[in-house]
Amino acid sequence: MALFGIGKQYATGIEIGTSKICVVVAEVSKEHPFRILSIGQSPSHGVRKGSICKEEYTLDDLRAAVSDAENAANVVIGDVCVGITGSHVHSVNTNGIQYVEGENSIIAQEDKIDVLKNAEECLPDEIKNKNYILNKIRQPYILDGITVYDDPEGMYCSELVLPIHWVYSASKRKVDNILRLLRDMYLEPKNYIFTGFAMALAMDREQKKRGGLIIDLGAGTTEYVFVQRGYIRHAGVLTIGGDHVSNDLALGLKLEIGVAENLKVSCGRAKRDSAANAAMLPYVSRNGERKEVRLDHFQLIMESRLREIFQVIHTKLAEVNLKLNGDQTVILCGGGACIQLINELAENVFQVKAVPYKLEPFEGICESVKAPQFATAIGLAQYRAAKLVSSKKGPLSNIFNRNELKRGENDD
Amino acid sequence: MMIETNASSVSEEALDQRQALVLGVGGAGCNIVDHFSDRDSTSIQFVAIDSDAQCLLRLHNCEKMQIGQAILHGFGAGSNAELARLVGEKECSRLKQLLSNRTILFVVAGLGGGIGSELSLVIVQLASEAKIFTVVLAIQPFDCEGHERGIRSQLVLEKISKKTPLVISLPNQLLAQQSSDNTDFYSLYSISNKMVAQAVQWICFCLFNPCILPLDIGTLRNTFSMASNGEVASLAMANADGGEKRIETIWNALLKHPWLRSEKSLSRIGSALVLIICGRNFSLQDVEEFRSKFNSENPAAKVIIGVCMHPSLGWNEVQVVLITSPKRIPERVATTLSYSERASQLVDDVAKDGTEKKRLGTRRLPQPPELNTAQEKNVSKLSRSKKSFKYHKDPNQGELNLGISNVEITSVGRFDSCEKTFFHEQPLDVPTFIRWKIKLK
Repeated sequence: MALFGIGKQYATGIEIGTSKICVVVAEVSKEHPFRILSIGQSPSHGVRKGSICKEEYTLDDLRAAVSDAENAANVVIGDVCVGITGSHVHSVNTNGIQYVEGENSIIAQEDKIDVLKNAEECLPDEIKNKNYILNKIRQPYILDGITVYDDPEGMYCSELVLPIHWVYSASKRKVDNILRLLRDMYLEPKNYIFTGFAMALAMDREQKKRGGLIIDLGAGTTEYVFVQRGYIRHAGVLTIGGDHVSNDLALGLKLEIGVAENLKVSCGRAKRDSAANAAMLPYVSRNGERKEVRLDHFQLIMESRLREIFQVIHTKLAEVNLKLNGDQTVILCGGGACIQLINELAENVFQVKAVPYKLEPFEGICESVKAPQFATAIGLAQYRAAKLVSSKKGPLSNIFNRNELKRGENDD
Repeated sequence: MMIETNASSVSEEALDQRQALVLGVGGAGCNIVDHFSDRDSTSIQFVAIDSDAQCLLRLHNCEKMQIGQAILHGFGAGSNAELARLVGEKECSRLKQLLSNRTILFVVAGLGGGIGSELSLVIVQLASEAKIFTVVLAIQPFDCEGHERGIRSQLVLEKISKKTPLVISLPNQLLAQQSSDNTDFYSLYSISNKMVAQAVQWICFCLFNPCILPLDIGTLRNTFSMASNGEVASLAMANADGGEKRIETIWNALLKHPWLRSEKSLSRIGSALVLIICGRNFSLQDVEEFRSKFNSENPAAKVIIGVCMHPSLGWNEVQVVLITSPKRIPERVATTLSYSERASQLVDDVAKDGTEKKRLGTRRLPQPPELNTAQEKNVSKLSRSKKSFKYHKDPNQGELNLGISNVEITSVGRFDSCEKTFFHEQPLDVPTFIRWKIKLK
């Protein structure tokens, strides 16, 4: 972390995605709690399904994105927070139980500490030793079987339960690859967290409070996070995404993959159009020929893949007994959120309202930052900033709602 | 713990003689087994298996077997597949004992929940290992029971259908769609239960009693073993009390039967088993009429007819059980060949042995047009250059016929070299429209 000026610190978040690499630099100071200085990005070539497969390509792309951000912000990036995703990311729940003793069974601060320790002890050694823990997400306390969303200190109960949702990477090698790559570029990965968590962190405060299912439809992966009353209840990742849509189109309509990708971006639609039955969709092939494909086939292939992605998420949530209530919403972000009628499709599958993702308004280069595809990188920078603040515990500690920070605390 | 009521317990020698076993698995299965009325039969044993002691106590007409006492403590699995699977694994030895020395096994289960789904999978597996001919009657849930239940039942059905030749799917929802709006829930369940019970009873009756046109387990095995590649059969029933046009009445009732689903036109069925249970007044002409009706609809279908007289039926009464399995689709698909390629193949064949040979798995093609020498040269040149044809490398737009279940997709495009993604054993890298069998005409 380079320091320019007294009391100024810089928080950097790096997202190594399948379609792009994004670097966000933000200033953390007394005057500006979180001010975005620059965003650097570069297309990604060496990543498939969220995991690095061609290191030399990724190194070049990363270098381009980092230098882009450094030049624009006029700082030298040192410590960073990097996002981890891919098929190796899994999650598990543990429950810490504390029997409250003492006078009148009132919960004291010691009980809260003990129950947290207990929940941490419950994590199997196999997971603890062989994997990297990405996020340790606290759940609301359960007092004698009743879920309490507030601080339970001072309340009466005999049995205090604290569930913890752990997100971990089952492949140390894949995480090490990313960390080594960053160290090769003289960047120090101080924090590494699940990208889905970062995405939820950067979300608008109102949406966070209201809760719902946040889905990041990326190119190679789809992350989903279930938020309830400001708590992250469940997080997961599917290694299917926008690339699969293009691939389906290419295989089904016999198109080149680049052409399929372009058609998806320009004319993609998440739901079939009844008027498209006999229509043809013209395109220009790589060698300049004018050709056309059937529009109804094109839309049918796209809809089936996108619908399946939502259905898989729906099933996965049902498997862990989570259900969206009528007042909760599905919040879509990532590149896939730009597809036409995607909200309607999500509403159709999840049977609740679907809304676009809204970023928390930040200081700095606001206008360009509003696009939801930067949400993850901003969330990572925000997490790094929160870590900086919590380590200092100085006058800056009020920039985040303390509860919010605690809920996503990471012990690294 | 085995709960055996005094009324239904039989001596061990008698048990050994019973070759057929009807197992009701889980809540729904147990209820249906309790509906069987032909309990005096010496060749069939009826057993209800469940973990829920309360459910078993309600049954009076069958033998009972409680499982998973150690794990579930006498309660149901509560749609928890993991628990139910664990119970199945623990109870393997008891189930094996139950299945020993059987020739035919009927498994009746409601899919989508815990015990019914998972235990029937275990039983089917054990039966296939012991080489017992197994007929699975899988009851699928109503839509109102929830989306997840529907999905789970579909997944289990697919798994079961790969392990056993004859799986009959009985979707409750289709029954509900055809019933009138004011039919109450209890009646719907009752209709469904009675139909399943009756069908199994008639099949067993035909198998183990002297018949006019006999039916045995070998015939069943031969008829449906071809359909074992994950295909699911349908069941329909109809009856007529008499009258001049009773066969026609039955025929029309069969066509309208809710469970006959996609094979409604009967043109899509591959093989069919028709069991006719009749009173004394049933002639050969009636059988002929039935067969001719089938032939007029679908001459290619393999139809097995069994006719049996039952003393309890009236003089003119006829009951018909129809089991149909869908047409087997050829493994190799040649529809993506262009016309010139098809023509060249035929020219090659004719040149080889002088007769038009029907290729395995290809569609019968019309006689190719007469070719002049220059064209013939072209065609043979083309056939030499295209030695092997690979479906997956060159799908032809416009002629893609993807409503085919057993085309093995070997290419997943750009994800060929990637780590594979699976969800509930489904390869998600394979395009969705292929797995969902969406036809692009």
